[in-house]
Amino acid sequence: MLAAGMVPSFAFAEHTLPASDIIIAQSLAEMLRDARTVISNNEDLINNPAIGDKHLSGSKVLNDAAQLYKKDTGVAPDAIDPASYQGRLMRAMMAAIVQVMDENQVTINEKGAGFKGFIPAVFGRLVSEAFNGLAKGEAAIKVTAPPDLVRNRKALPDPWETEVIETKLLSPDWPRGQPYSAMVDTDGRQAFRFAIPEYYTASCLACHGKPKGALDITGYPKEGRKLGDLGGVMSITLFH
Amino acid sequence: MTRLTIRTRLIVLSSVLLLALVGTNSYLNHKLAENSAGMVRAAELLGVIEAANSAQIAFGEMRYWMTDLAVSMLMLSERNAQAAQNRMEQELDLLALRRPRAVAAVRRELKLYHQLAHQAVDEYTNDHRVIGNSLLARASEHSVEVDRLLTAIVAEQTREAIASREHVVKVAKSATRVSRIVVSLAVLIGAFLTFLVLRSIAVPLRRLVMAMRGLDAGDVTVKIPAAGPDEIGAMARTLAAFRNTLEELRRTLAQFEALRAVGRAVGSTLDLEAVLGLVVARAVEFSQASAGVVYEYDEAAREFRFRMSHGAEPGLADDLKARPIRFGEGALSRAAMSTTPAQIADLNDPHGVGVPILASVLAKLGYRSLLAAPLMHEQTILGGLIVVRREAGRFSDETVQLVEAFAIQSALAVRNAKLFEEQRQRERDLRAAHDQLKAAQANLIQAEKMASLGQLTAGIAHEIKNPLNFVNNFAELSHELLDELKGVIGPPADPQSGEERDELIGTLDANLAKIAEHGRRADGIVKSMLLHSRGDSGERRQSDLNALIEDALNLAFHGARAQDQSFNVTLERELDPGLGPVETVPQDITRVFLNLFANAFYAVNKRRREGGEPEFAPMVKVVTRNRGEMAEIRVRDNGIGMPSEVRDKAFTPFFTTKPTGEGTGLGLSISYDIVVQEHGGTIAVDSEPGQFTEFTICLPRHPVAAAMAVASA
Repeated sequence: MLAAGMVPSFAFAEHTLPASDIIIAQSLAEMLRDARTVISNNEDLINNPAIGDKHLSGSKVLNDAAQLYKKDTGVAPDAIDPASYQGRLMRAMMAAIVQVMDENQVTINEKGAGFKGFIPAVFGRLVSEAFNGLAKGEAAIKVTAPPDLVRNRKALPDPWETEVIETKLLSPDWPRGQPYSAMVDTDGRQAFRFAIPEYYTASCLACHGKPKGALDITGYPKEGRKLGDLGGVMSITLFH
Repeated sequence: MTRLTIRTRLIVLSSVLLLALVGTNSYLNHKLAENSAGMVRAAELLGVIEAANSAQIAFGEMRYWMTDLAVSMLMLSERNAQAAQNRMEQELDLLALRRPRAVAAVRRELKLYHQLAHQAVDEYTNDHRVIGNSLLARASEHSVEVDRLLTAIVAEQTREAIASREHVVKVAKSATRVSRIVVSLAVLIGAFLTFLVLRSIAVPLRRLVMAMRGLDAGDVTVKIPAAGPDEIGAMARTLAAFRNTLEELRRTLAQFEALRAVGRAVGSTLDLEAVLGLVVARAVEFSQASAGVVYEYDEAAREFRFRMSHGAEPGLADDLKARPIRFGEGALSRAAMSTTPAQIADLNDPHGVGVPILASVLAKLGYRSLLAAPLMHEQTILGGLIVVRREAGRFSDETVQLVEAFAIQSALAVRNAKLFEEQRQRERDLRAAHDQLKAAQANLIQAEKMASLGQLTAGIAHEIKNPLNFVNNFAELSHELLDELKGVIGPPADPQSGEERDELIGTLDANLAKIAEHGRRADGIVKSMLLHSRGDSGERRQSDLNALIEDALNLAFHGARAQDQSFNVTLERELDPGLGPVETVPQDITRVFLNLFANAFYAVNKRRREGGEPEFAPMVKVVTRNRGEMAEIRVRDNGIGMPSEVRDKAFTPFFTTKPTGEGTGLGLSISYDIVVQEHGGTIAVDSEPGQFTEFTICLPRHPVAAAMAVASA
């Protein structure tokens, strides 16, 4: 939903929570965003009909994303202890990235076709879905958005997310970029829930900007938003 | 139509047209409403069909988007499905108004489909594809049912719509047909009524315009259309009144001109005949009568006498002339007595106030009414003006005033004429008196001459008588001597000398007889001369009038022959031998006879000489008759005769028609005195100019008693 260039925020939530949950959630979010940035950076290549094999394999994208992650956090993702809760989740994230890329090689490498619908948002959702399958029972990631901006039914915010978006993130006095986190009873379990706001950049508006209703490159009507509007929320749930 | 006013006509026409329009409109409105109801129903049905179709389409869209959602998970599909469902709900809401039960069934099926489809989508969203497929398959069954229900609704509503449309078409066709008929009838009736109304206005209006043009051109005889009760009738009445006023003005002007002409005639001429002729003609003309009569009043006889007429039948004029109107009779007398015109409205009315005979005469000729105006000067009745009409009824006041005005003019004319006539008569009288004076003077001179001549004649006659006695006596003596001579003379010496002697003696005897005869005749003449020239002896004696007549006739004849040698006349005598003696003064009676015979000879001789009648045979006839105590003597000649004015003055002293010096004018005057005053008889004259003159004298046998009787009478 958010393309590369979106400013990540690492500010902590107002509640006093275990530092590890916030760090874990932020690291997972960072990894996902970085991978998405790689896809965004290679979008022209992906949509180039003249080239067949784009050489954007899962490992290639993961490698590029890991580099970006290390660059932004100073820590290489594979350097995190694989036995730790964070390490397990990071490994799941990295595997999900590779899985999604490998599953979509046919689409990406199709020669003669221009736009292939393999955009950062779709990539982010697919990675999230793959991550959720891989980290089942320990954590979940969903790239959601305010309800009227959600394009895929699977990305619909759940009640908690909806409330956070409407009462917090969309509140005029909500500090820009500040995430919201809380311990929430989810499916009968206490879970750490973490919501990171993401704002539209110039490249986002190619599909979500004006004129409202005009079809974007995917054939979906544009939402008519402008630069800096809340465009998405990365929702991370950590189960203990 | 013309009994209505134009306004009413137009209102009726407008009302009829409006009624037709309203009726047609009402009918069409009714049919239109019926049609509209059908249309509305059809539209409603179409709306239902459309709603059902729309609902079916929306349902199809919703089903599509739900299916798409199950595959794509796109919120756009879900929103589209929701939008389609909303539209379908709206269509079902509309449909429910018409088909609630069917819609309820649809909603039930739809709800089931919706629940299952959403459950299927949720399952797809949660990646439970098999469950989703199962649910979607179940939902599909309900979607088929929804389709079936909606299709059934559409089919049923379509049938109803078709039926409704067919009904609408039928009604529309029927309305169209009826409205065409009604509109055609309305147009025909409207056109006919409009034609009638326009005709009822245009025709009299055109006549009125023609009449106005005629009047404008000065033709007062122009026919003005009959005045109906409408506005044009009012205009016609006004125009007729205008025409009447114009006619009245013209008539008044003509009357004024006529009166002026009459007045001018009265003032400019004294020819009464001409003036009265003009007056009566104008009076008849302007009173619109058939005839007119002017009467002149004879004050002495107290009667109105016919003077002249205008327009009257010749027979009527004669009748009127023969029947003067006595004062006190008839309308004319009433008018004269009241000094105002009087009239008889119906001459056939037996109770009328006309002169019965005249009224009868007029009525027989077809006259029915009469107006009489008196000709008056101050309080003096001069005559009357009468106009008669063939129509019964009273004369209008205007006519009465007009005839009265003409009567006044007539009176002026009569008065002027009378004055003028009186003046002329006075002049004539003066001239006659002057002439008579001069004639009397001449006659006196003549009489004096005659008296002197008489004396001279008596002297001469006396002187002649002595020698005449000698002649007569010696002639008688010579005759006797001749007889003696015949006895004395012996027989002749020879027969021849004897015959000569006898012849000579015979001739001598005849000569002596002639001398004696003419001597006696001369003696008679002398005696007559002596008798006539001798003055009034006054001696009455029994006279033989026949003998006196013979003497006078003889004397007069010779006197006439003495004056004119060519004079000759046939003398006829019917002297009654049984006349018997009459006591007269013979000289005077003889004088009377001499005068009558002299006049008779003069008259026949004048006719012979001046009459230009070659075949004329002068004749004087004397007749005597024994009338018992009276002796009648008639002296008739076939001379020049006497006109009445001469006849009237025949016995006036000094009146004579003979040239000055030939007559004294005293002969008949003296004769009248002798017969009437001296002998108590009568003398009358009858004459016809150019035919005869006859004097009739009646003498009593005893004049004293008769004279006394005359004197006492």
